[in-house]
Amino acid sequence: MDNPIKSEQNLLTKPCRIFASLNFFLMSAIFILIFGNLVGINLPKYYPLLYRWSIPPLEGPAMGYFSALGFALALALPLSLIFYLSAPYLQKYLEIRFKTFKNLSTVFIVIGIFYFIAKEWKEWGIEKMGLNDSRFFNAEMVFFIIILGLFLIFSALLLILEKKIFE
Amino acid sequence: MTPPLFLENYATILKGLHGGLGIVSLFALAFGVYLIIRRAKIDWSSGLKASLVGIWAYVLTFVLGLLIYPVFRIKVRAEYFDIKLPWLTGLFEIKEYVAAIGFFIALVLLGFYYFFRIGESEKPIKQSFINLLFVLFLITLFSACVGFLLSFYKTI
Repeated sequence: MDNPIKSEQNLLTKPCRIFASLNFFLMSAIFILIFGNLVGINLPKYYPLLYRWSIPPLEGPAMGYFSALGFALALALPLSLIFYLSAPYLQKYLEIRFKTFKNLSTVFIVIGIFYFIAKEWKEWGIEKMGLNDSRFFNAEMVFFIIILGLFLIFSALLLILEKKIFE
Repeated sequence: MTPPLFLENYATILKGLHGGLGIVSLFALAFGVYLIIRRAKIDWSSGLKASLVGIWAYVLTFVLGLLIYPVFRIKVRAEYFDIKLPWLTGLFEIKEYVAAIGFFIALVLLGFYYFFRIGESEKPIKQSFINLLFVLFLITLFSACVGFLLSFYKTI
């Protein structure tokens, strides 16, 4: 046969459906965490000194982390369940395959990690330390190059590991 | 006198548990990844057992971290790091979000354990499992390094 078709390509097996849903959960949770952070969704924050949760800003240090985490989980879980239930119908229009979901979830993880490294370090490690200036090779540019290097090393490590086990 | 913060009276014990379980998680995940890589063609069971211990230890470490966070936020971050060492706050912020991604990964890995017989599963499932396990190990290693560094400067 010229074009062999993998069995998973046309037939959505139960393991593939579960596997895709687990990966969908991972991707959607990371996406919601990043999106919420990027857009700045107004979620309730905990004010430890006041022992209160509040959406409008109050006096004193605030903690938005609990809400961000809860929000990501609370949305990703039902979305994944909907995905699991609708997967047989979606398969008619999309090609749900093991490999696609495996690769996509790895991409989401890598992007998620490096988004938070870049975002938080830019704020606390560069701006609040007063290191940003107008030169081209300023602290931000150097930091961007370091992040890019780390990104490439990290991706290469994953590929090497996968090859080493299954070669 | 101001009343204690949420779980402030237990913060030292909880922090000790958080650190201890974090170390257990780190070593169990490292051992699990090592065994799976070394014995991938022979037997996955010993690597999977070590990994399961590591994953559960990670989940517990993460939950304990959430419990001590309000005390850390006030006594360490707001009173010291934010003012004098903002780059350490930056490292902590990175650690908390990366750890959250690790928590999602840990939940998915537990799902793998629950739904599949990983050692006998199809290749993509095994590949995905080892990928996620390796990433979780890296996240745990990074979190442990940052945790030690933060404790070196100030602790709750």
